[in-house]
Amino acid sequence: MIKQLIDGQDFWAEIVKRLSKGEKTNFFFSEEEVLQLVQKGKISRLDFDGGVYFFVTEENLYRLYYFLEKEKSPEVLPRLQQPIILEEVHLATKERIPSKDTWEKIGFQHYLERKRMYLMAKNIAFEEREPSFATEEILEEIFLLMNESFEPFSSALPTKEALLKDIQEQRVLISLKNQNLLGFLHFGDEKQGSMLWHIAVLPQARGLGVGEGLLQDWFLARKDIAKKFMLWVRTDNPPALRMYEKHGFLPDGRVAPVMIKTT
Amino acid sequence: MDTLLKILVELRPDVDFEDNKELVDSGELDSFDIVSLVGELCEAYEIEIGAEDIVPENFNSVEAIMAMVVRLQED
Repeated sequence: MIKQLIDGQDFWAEIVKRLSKGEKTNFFFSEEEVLQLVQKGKISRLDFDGGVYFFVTEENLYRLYYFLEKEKSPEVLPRLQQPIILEEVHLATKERIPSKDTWEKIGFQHYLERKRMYLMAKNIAFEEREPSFATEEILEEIFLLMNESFEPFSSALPTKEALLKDIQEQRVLISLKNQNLLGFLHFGDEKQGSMLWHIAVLPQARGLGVGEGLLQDWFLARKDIAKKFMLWVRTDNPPALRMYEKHGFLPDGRVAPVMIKTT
Repeated sequence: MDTLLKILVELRPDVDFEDNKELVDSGELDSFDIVSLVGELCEAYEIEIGAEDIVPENFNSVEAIMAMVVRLQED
C-alpha cells in the first residue's frame, strides 16, 4: 500500500541508515531537500520485500526513487494515473545495477540518456565579447522556445515565475539579430562552478554559430566566479556533443539514463 | 593511500584531491559521490561505514577519508 510520508526527520534518518548499509539507490537529495518534500506532502512510499519505492508527485508525472538491498530486484509497480519517470545516475565505468533489463521486466522503457561534462576555467581561451542578458520583455519568447526545445519529463524546466527570477538575476543570456531572439542560454551557480541548465537556438538560426557564441558569453559572464563549467548533454545529440567537445569539455564519467513507464 | 586516490580519481577525474581540504563543504563532492564512495570504500577496505560516519567532516579531504578508513579497520 502506498503511504504518504509525514515525518521528515525520521525519513532522513532512514535514508542515512539505508545508505550506510550499501543499498542501491537513485535517491541523492540533501537533508534540506528531503525535509521540504515531506513538508509539501509530495512524497509517498511503497515498501516491499528487499526494498522500498519513493514516489515524488509532480503535475503530470511521478518520479520514482528506490532503495534496494544487495542482490534484491525491483518489485512490480502498481498501476498509477500518470507516467512514472525513473532517472538514475551511475558511473560509465561501472556496471549499472539494477540493470536496464531488470527495469524493462517491470514495464519501463528506455527514454533517453545524458552524460555530464566539465571544462576547467583555466583551460578556456576567452574571447572579447559583450554578453547580452535577457530582459523581462522577452520572458514569454524564451519560455516558449524553452518548452518547444526540451522534452517535458526530465529537462528540469523552470516555471515561468522561476525563469523570470533567473532573468532578473542575470542567469539567462540571449543572442539577438535585428532585435529578434535567435537563442538563449540558462545557467545556474553551484558551489563547485557554473552549471548550464538549458541552451536552445531557433531552428532557422542553427548552424550559424549562435550556440557557440552563447557558450562564450556564459564563460565571460562567470569568468571571475566559476572555476569550472559543467553541463549535462543528451548522448543522442551529436551536434551538441561535438560543440562541447570542440570547446574542450570532457566527460567526468557520470551518466544519467532516464526510463519511463506509461499508464 | 594509493588505493584511495585511485578510487577518488576514478570517481571524479575533474577534482584536485591533493590540495582540496573542503571537498564536501566546497561542493566538490556531492551526495552521489559520497554514496558511491561509501560503496567503493566498503568493498576495497572490507569495512562497514555506519550511518554515524556519513558526515561531511569524514569526507572533506583525502586525509580525513583515510583516517576514517583506518579507524574502521581497527574497530
